[in-house]
Amino acid sequence: MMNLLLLLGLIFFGLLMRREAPMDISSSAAYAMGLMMLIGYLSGRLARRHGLPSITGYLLAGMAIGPFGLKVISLIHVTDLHLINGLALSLIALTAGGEIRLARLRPHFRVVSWVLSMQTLIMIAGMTLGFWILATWVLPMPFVTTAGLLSAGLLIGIVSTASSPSTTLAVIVESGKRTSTTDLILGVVMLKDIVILFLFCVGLNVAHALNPAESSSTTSIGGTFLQISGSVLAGMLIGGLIILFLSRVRNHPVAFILAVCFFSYEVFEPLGLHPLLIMMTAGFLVVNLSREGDRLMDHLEAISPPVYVLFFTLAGAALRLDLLNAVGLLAMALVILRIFFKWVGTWAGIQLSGKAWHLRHRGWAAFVSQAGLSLGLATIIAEQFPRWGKSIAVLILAAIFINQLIGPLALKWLLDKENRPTSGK
Amino acid sequence: MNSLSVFAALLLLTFVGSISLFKLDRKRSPLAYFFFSGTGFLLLGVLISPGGLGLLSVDVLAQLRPLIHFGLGWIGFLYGFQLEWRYLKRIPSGWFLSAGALYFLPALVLTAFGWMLFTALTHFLYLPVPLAVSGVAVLAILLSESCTAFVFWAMRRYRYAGRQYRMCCFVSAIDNFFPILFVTFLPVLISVDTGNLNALVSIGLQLSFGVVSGYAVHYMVRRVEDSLEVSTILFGLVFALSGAAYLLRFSMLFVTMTAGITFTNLTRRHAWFQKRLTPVEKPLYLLFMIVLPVYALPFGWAPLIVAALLVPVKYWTKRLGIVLTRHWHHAPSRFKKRAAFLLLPMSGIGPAMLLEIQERFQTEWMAWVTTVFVFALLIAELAGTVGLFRTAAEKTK
Repeated sequence: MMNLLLLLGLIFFGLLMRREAPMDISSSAAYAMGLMMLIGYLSGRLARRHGLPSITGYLLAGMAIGPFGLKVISLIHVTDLHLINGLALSLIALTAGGEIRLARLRPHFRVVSWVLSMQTLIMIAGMTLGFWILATWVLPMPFVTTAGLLSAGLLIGIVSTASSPSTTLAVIVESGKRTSTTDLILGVVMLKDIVILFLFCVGLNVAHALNPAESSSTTSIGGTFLQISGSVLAGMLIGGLIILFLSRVRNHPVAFILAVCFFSYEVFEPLGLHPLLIMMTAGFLVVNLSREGDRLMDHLEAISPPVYVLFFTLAGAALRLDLLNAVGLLAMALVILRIFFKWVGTWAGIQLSGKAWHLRHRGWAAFVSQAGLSLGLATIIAEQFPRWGKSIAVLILAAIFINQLIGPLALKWLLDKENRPTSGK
Repeated sequence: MNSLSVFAALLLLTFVGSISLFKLDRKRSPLAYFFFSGTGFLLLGVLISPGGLGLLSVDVLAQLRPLIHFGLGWIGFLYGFQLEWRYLKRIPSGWFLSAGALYFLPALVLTAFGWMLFTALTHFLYLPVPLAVSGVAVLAILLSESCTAFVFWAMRRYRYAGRQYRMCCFVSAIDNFFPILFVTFLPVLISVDTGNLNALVSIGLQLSFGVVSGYAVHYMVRRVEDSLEVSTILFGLVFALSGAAYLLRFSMLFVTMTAGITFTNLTRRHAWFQKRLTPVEKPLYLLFMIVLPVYALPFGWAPLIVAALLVPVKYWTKRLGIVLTRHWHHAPSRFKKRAAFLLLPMSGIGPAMLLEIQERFQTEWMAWVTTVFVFALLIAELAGTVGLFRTAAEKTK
């Protein structure tokens, strides 16, 4: 009860500040960050108390106080905090990379590769076809040509395959248990991001070929290969640097890690490399090729809770509630299709691998969440196809919004099922 | 590559460079303090500031503003957190009197000397007289404080022990309190756009805001055992508090310090929190060292000469203060001249306070004050270290 009162008090304080602060409220990003952290934290605590994952609390809090809710946090704040967003994303990616321990992943290699392949194939084929049917007969989009619809379906299919490593990791960390199931889930989610990056570029080329008049630029497969290999190389450099620092210097490890994350996002992102991939590679390298892995993970664990609260509350604030009015129905249909094909893909993958049978029917729940990478890809679609790209991006954003709310709940449900002791044993 | 990227790259390079620097510290080099205190970071700031290579500008700093506000808030909160009544009441009252005397004597003399200096040099400095007065006051108040880190380092480096060194620690810690108060009272002194009464009301509001926030944080963390959850609450509180203080034109340092004082006197887990709060402090000081020179003017002889004249005045007045107070009740009876060197550098909270003034009152004389302060900081660090080294060498002979 007191938590709720404190939460309401903070929201009231935020509303009061918006009215009374003599300066433009948007001039203090620190204020916005602090308020988001406190409100997010209290909401997460309330969510946990009601059996929900904390991340759902953070997202809901962000939505409530964000520019599309009570407007305690303005749109300028959300844009201004891109620096913190980048820092947080790099930190989460470093943690995610560090979570992939080869020794633990090796026994699951077969199942990971089968689930990954089947999910990707079935999702892309199913979603392309599903979207084409939906947009042609069920909820028609008259302003898009057939070629446009097929291209959009293909790109939506690729984007829908992605899951959110940050959300997955946050829920797993909160569950407090590392089992073979969590190793398998993390392996699939992390590797999928790399596969998606490749496939998206292939998909863009196909879409450009199908719509020569509507596209504004092209992305070559060679260029993508260079981007990905460049990111991996940069990640190796960063990983080497972290190993060197942690093994030689004992002072300020946390400040150093933050500086590395800041550096990687600010320096490599403008060069067209992928900070997420860079930091994942770095984390993977430190944990699997050096003795400093445990130290790195300890330090990361010490920084992560405030970062998670801020990052996900900010993500909630950035979710565009207004889009639901416009494309809500079609987005909902896409979400249902996505879950269905996730289920089929996971089922087929497990069936073919002949392992992890217990996840055959409920494994899909681990892959519903969708955030960072998908948001970025939606922006690229909007930029590269000026005629229909924007409406498709809006549709993807609305679907991400719903997926991001359902995803953590689904994963928590799965982990609870997995962690529940079997009766009679 | 934008300026922020360059800043990120330099920040990382500095950290990597510290591998060899920390080795130097382990070798017990007399120059090690420069790396321990972060003077290297100050030099880096000078190098990349608009007056140097121009890689870091005020516009870039605008993007780092949340971090700077957080840093100011955190330092204020941590400082307030150390003012625990249960601990303070065990300290003899004579120590407080000595600390006050050792701060206010240099402050008064520096104001008077600075005023004479500025009057004599007004034409040469191209600085209008009223601005020079404000500048002198700010400089005197900031230069008179001491650096706790330096005293600790010297005690470790030269294996100093005993009452007078403990006293120096105390003096250097407690004399940060006065400049924070000054920063809060600054609107009353300069009355920029509010009347004096409004400014006094504002001080009352700042005090209440800090007290209520301190109580709120106590309530939120009192049953939380998980240190990660505690850090989330504290980070959130400091961000929100310093940001709100900035919006309401309050002093970030004072509001968070008040919250820290309230919290420390309510909680029963003082040591537990202390252990979790302190590690964040040093990186923030280092950040301030890099950022401060950005606000300074390009190199000029006039600020350097003024700084070179003010630092010896600080040394001699600290020494005079030591001589005058050594016979006071409970004060250490054999205060040596080494103690004046110990109290010479001011790299602790000084840069933070100057940044706070910059953030709140972006007046034209602040660039000049910042330039003099940066030079004075470098001279005092050098003089303090060399002075200690020489007195230690004399002792060995």
